[in-house]
Amino acid sequence: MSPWKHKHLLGLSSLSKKEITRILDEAREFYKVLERPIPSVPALRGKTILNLFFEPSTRTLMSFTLSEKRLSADSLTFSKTSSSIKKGETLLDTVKYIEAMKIDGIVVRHSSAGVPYYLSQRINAFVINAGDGAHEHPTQALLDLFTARRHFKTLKGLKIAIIGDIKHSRVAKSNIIGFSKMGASVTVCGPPTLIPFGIEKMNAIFEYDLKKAIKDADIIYVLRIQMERQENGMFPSLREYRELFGIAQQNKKKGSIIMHPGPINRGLELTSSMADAPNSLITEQVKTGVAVRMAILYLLGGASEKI
Amino acid sequence: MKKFKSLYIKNITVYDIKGKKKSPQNIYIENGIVSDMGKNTYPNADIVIDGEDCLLLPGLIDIHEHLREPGEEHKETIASGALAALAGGFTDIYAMPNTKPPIDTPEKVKFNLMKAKEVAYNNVHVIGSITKGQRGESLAELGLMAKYGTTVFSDDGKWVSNARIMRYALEYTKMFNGLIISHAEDLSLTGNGQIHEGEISTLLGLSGIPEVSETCAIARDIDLARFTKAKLHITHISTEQGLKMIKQAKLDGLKISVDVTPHHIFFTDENLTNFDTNLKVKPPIRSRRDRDSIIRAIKNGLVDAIATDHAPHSKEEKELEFVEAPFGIIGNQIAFPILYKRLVVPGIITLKQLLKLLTSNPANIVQLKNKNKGSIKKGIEADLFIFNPNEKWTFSKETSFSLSENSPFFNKSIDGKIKYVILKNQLHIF
Repeated sequence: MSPWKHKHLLGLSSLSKKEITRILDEAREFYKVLERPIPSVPALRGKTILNLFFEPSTRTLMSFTLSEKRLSADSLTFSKTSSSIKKGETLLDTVKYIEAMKIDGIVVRHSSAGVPYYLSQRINAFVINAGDGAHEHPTQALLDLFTARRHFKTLKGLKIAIIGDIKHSRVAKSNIIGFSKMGASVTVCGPPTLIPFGIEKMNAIFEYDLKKAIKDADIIYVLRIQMERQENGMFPSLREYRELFGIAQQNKKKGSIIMHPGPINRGLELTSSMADAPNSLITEQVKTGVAVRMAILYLLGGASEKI
Repeated sequence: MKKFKSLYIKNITVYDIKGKKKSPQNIYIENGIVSDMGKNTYPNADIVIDGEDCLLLPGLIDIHEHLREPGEEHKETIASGALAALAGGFTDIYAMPNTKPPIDTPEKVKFNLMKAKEVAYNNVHVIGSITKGQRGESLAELGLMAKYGTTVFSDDGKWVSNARIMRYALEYTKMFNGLIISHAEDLSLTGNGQIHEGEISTLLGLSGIPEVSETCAIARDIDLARFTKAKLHITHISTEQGLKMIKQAKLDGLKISVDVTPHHIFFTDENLTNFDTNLKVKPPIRSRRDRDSIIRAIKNGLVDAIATDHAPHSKEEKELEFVEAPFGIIGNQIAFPILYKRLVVPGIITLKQLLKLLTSNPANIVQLKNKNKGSIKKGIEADLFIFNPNEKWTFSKETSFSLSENSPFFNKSIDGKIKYVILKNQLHIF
């Protein structure tokens, strides 16, 4: 197989369909590894990965940490919310700190869009974006693509409906890019105040009416609603959101599935009975997350040239 | 009110939004439906009305009324306000939500609709608040209100001054093709203003409400409507400059509509020299130039609708010092006759045009379910009134149905009387 050409993974917008397929194919191998009695490989032995989390995270951080351990890398975590970083300690100081420690790769999450790019321009280590502001969350989208492909065998021709706050969601953004690149058709649905401008330019169809949006969907992808959007006045109340956009029943499409990036507001954007229904792949998403992140770390950790 | 099975109106002149029908006509209404129009006679009908000297006209719609319930039932109730409207030929009315407390939840919308069904003969529609408590800070439950009763929203006198919230409201209502009505008034420019800012306010020593308090608000709202591609209705526009902005917005293809009130058609600030609190309204009665521009805009079709802004206040409140008296006057019962006399009789506009301004146009703006509003034809539900343009009467305590008297026309003689209103199988005799 040809060597992996990208030094960093900053977003899905810079990956081709072929490259996405490559990641998903590699992930399939790591998924098998995870089912072995001893689910680890020595692929990144001797490499040091720093998880640099400026925003609170449980799942993504755990998933990356586990992926790094399964690949036998030395992993360490710097976890601080950006607001609690002392005044005076700038992002540039952090860069210098990382350089001094001779880190091979960093996994970064930050509330500000563009931070992974910023780091990629200033340090030698490879950078994986673990979510930056409302920009991208490529590893989440890749694990979602993997989960969907594993379930449906192919992504081509699938219909995915993404429900919720599209405007502030990096998960939605990366998934719209990823699914449409892979030949699926994407419909987004949510309060008009939470649908960003230019969504149709991203090859997504926009639908206000939830029933219409999910009617033919193979995948109902439910986003977490952030309470602060209501506090900002972007939608009136939780009960209105629940009634107009909450997923409380299955659509009529045979074989459709439910996905959610977690954590779920149970009983708000998704009822418990739907979250735990047999066609819910939410737990599966967590499992595939480790395999997909292993594949990404593996590809970047062994990248032969910088582009 | 009389319920009838069959009603026969003979020998009457019929006008609707298409104009004058071949007259005179005999109209037969059976089981609430206009079942025949033309030459046939029905002498055996339950009720027979001789329509000689009268006009048969389509029931009107008023998209801006204050019924004061709940909270200020001493000024008006749904029952009294709706009956006054009915006596004025309005078979559909829209109640503004600035009651005490404001109508800002689906529960309150539903309750008022239920109440109206119980106490009103005509169709009373409820407008919901744009923001919670009309405080202008966060959106009220527009989606649930749309689901359970109304798609029309306004904070009326409390213009949503926070542009971000207004943007959200315009965007959010697109979801169900709803309508935001803006009482365009920047209160920071109104200040303690009492009447139109001009020579008259200076002469009277009353602080002025500048035209920019309206035009600045219109400018912002139009631009938000352009940006969000949402529908916007500007109510009771009062300035020439504001009308220019609306004209440009319409030329630019925006989904903007506008209404004016009868009192802004009738009066100028020169009428205020005797400190009459019954001419203290918002927006204020403006200059002659503004008033004339309103009439021109009606003539040339720029104005989409006439709405009364029927705003009852008790006698005690209106009899306070000018600066203490509240803004607003009543007018739903007399709007049609006075407009007929002011606009149609001198030939400024035709009756057909006036009917459009009071039926089909406003019905389109608020997306009334009844798509026949303004039409009189065979096969549709009866929604009609009979008007005698030559009968004189006095608008007074004896004849008025409103609980309030705050009108410059109170105790004055009115030319033209609405004699009967026919709504489905009900006959109302006034």
